[in-house]
Amino acid sequence: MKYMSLDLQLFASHKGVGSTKNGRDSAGRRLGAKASDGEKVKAGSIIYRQRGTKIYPGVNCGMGKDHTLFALIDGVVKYERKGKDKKQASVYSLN
Amino acid sequence: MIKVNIKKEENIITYIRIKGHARYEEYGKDIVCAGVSSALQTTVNAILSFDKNAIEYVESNNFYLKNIKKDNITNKLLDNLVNTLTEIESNYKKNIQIKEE
Repeated sequence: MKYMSLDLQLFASHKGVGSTKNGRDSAGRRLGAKASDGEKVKAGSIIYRQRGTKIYPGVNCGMGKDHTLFALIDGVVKYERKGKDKKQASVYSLN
Repeated sequence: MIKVNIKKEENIITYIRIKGHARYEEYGKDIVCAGVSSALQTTVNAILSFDKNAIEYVESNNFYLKNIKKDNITNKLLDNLVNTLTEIESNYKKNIQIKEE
């Protein structure tokens, strides 16, 4: 009867058994406000990046096909309420 | 989870079976498995150093040991092993479970 050999991981689950299939993630899309309330913007500049219409386009504000809000004129950005529970972004001219 | 089954006759350990995986951490870092493995292997080798015919055992992670001679040294070393495993169980209940049959 020989001595038992020392294996400190005798009762460990073995290597490579069911390695995890997770561990991937896409890069952050940097969504959110690009111009804050009261900030001066130029026509065409982006105001808000979003998925769907978290914020709606208001006065002098356009929306791209990816729901990006952008200024239609030079002016100041205003985030306002829209109805009971929605928000909109508007651009008001300075002059 | 590591499952430890013990059989006793007149308070003497006659049979121990240890099987399963601790699953405390991945291979190479599983400290619960390391504790159980070293306690077991130290005990078996200690018994064999006194008397090579005192026990029969199968070396695998489906481990079993049979106390053949039931001499005082072997009994004391097996008791000590079970005490050690019980100590580990008290700290790592999710990874090791001891049952007396």
